[in-house]
Amino acid sequence: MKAEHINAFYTATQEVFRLMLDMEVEKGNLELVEDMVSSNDANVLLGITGDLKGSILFGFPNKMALEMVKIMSGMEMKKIDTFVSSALGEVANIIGGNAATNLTNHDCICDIAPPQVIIGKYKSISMASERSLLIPLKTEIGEFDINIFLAEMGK
Amino acid sequence: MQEYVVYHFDDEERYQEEINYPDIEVHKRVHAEFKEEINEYARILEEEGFTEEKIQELGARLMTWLIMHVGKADQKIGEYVKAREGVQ
Repeated sequence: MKAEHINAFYTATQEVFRLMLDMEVEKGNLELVEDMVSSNDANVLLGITGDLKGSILFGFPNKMALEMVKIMSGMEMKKIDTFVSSALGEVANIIGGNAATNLTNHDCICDIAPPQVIIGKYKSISMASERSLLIPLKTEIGEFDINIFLAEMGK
Repeated sequence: MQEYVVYHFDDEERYQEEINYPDIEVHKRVHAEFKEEINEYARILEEEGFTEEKIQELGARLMTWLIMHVGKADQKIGEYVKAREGVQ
């Protein structure tokens, strides 16, 4: 996995958080992990196809997920219902779209598959034998993470 | 809402034509895609009924699309107008 590919997703996340939630995202220490596991309360999985093939998994704790949707909608959110999970899916989708745009600057043409929202902890989403990269991220409303696995195709 | 979407987008596209907005074609395409999506939701709601789940899904989609579109695409129009005024 190349740093520029990983960065395309990180900068897209920063961009979308700034625009949609008016807040900064700070990167923690990166970690290589064996399995892609949805270790948070609300998780969104994006499939990547094209010059890069792989998956991006966003994991949000319950409180942060509710707060994000509260900021966007101006309404108090009590539980992760269809509205909250759809909104989270859309945010991840927009991040994926922006990352795909960023990747074109590195001559990489990718498509993003529609987001899958997974509610509930510890469901293993294993699709590759290779290890993936876990990026812990900090914001003023909580900590979340992005799990990235990308392989270059035919290059 | 379907009517309002068309009315509002037409209005905005007319304004972009008036100011010779260079990205007008891209912006028009984004509007067209959104209109199609709204029509698709209308079709599903008519055929399958107004289930709470579908309404919530549509609500979330509308909210995120609007925040992103107004925050990014429409903002660019503002920047263009400001830059143009600066030149004049």
